[in-house]
Amino acid sequence: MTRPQNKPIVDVLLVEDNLSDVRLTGEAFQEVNASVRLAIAHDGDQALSLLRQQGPHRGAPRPRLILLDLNLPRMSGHEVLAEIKADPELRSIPVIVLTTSDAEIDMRNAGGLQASCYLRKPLDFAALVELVRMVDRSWIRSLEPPLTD
Amino acid sequence: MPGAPEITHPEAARITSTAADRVDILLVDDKVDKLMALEAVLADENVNIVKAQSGMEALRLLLKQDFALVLLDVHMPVMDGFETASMIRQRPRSEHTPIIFMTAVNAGEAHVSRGYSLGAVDYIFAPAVPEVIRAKAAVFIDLFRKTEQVKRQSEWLRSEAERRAALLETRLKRLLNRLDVGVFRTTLEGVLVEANPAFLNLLGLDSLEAAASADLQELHIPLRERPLVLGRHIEDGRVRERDVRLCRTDGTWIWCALSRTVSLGEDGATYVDGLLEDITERKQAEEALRESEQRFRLMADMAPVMIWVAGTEGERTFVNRLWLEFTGADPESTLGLKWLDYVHPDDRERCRDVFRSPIWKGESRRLEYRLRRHDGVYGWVMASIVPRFIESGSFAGYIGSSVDITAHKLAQDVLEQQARELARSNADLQQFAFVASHDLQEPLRMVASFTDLLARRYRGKLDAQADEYIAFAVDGAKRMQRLIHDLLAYSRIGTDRQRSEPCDTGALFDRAVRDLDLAIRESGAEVTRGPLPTVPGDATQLAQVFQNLIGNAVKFRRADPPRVRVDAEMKDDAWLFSVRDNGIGIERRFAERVFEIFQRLHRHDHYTGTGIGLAICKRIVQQHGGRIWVESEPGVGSVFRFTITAR
Repeated sequence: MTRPQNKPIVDVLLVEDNLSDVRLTGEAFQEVNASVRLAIAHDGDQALSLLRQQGPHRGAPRPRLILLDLNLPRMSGHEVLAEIKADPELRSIPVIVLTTSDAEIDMRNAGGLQASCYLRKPLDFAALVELVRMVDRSWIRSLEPPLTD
Repeated sequence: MPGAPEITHPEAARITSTAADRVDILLVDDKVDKLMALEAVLADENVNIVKAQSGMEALRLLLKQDFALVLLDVHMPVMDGFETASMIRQRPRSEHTPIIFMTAVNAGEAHVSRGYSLGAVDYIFAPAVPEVIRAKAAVFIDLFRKTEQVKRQSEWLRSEAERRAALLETRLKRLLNRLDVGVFRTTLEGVLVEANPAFLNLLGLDSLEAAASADLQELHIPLRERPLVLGRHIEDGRVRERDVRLCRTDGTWIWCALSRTVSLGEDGATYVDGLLEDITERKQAEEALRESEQRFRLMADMAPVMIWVAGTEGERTFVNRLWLEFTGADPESTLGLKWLDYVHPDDRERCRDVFRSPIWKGESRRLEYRLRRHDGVYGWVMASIVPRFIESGSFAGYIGSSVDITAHKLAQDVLEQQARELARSNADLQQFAFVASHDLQEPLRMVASFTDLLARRYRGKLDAQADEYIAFAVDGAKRMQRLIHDLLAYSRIGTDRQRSEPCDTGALFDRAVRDLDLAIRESGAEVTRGPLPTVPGDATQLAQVFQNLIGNAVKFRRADPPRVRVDAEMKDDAWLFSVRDNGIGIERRFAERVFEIFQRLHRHDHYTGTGIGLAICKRIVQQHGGRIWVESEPGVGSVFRFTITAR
């Protein structure tokens, strides 16, 4: 819960339509790394305009990491991932796919579309905290500071 | 001799050469000097002069030999010339011998006419000029010679003809004797006149004479039969033929082909000439064929299946009683029609295809199609059809037998329908279980996560009762998660595509022991195994079986540390696995029930579990073509056994 003043804020985009999952993920990051700032997109369109800093998001910081739920209303998570990887500006942002589905087809599609990682949503909070801790260690703390702030 | 056959036979030379032989002339006169004078006149190297001095002597000589000419003196004592001539004429031998009367005086016309009436051919009046006598005699000498020659020739021809006829007859006889066809001749009344040995042999007769005495009633009836009208049949030479059954003298019966024709005999009488040939073997073969055909017909009609025979073009040549009963076809008019007529129009093409296929060579074909019944409704039949070949190997058509399988077919349809419905409802159920458990998992994840979060953030901050409530909620959510997880796993068996690959069950055992490491260490269990085989199957599923069974063996333990042993042995094409423990055991009455889903024997607070584990095991084993059961004694231990097919 501590937030050292000297630690820079890291922007992470969570694409998730389920409000309870948004809340749980937020709580988990609270416990793991308080300097992470979560931006929330409830569907694919919102996520893309946020990433492209369009409309109301003009001037908003570009996220350094994307946590993407595959099961989204309207555009599916796969389509969103394809859009991101097709955009030269966004292509380099790591995407971690979160899903409840075990189905192999999701894993293969995610791999083929260059998701950085595939993670299954844990069944309880303690496991979620462990998972977020792993993400924080592997993907966030290792990030270089942004060139411009 | 105009028209006479030219004689080329060597014999002919001898005949012609006799023409130059001397001929005899008889001179009759009572005066020796006149005889001498005449002899002198007629003397010739080719003429032999015989002299007689009285009519009696002349007649005596004429009895002994033939003369070319008789020169007869009219005036002789005792018997004069006329009397002598009359006698000569009365004898057959000299009936035609030419006679020339000689008389010294001119006796007048009456005298001469008397001589001619007695058969004289000429008159010579003395004294006669020798040249006249010679000329007149020469005519008759020459005539005699020619007559003799003709006589000899005809004699030779007759004997030649006889010789040839004899040769021909011998040849014919020999042929007839050697022929194995009976040749005979009867009178129109049926009396045997001639018969060759074969004929006698056929009837068991020793000789023609025996035929006359033997009681040949049975033979005579066909022989005597006379629809052969005299004359007409001789003209057209028509031959009558028929098969007859004859009784031989030894009492045996034979079949013969009898052919007869009416012909004119050498003696001018009308006869019946006939041939008799033994055809018993042929008849017997025909009889046997007829009998076998009858037998076939009888058997075919008694057979409980439909039987039909078709020609090369599929035209019916035979159908049995049952076929007629099934189709209601008219037995007379149905033959010759195509067998496909009664086949359902939709099935005809399929039936035709079977026959068209080029590999159709000798082996039978099985075919199911619909056949029109007598009531117009189509029934299902199963036909077995085989092509027919005649002895030379050429294709002759088909023989088929058909069984009415309508009832069977209907039952099968119902069964298939039920099986389809069952499969569909099964699939629906599995789909439902999968969807339900999957969708239940989502909200449950929320319940579990937030109660967990609640416990984390507020444990010890509320009162003790609140902590207990939260703990119950967390435990309930966790149990439900396990339940849904197991249910999901259970419903997936059979819906997911099952793999079949070689599975090293020893490795699967090791994996299960690793996964159960915590439980094994906590209980102080000893888990061992014998040699385990590699079997075909789905490794993930089989691993689950080992994990569940070993897990159970460790879980349901008594106070002592559990000892678990896994073994396998080959038994009847399948591997028989056993998982043996020294646990609490299972009462016999529950031995079956433990494999039912949600079936639990113990309270949650004693032994945790969802009651799905063994149901999963049972389903996996069944998917692998095996079965699973338990042998147990409460308080001693259990042996779970299951089989996996080795192929």
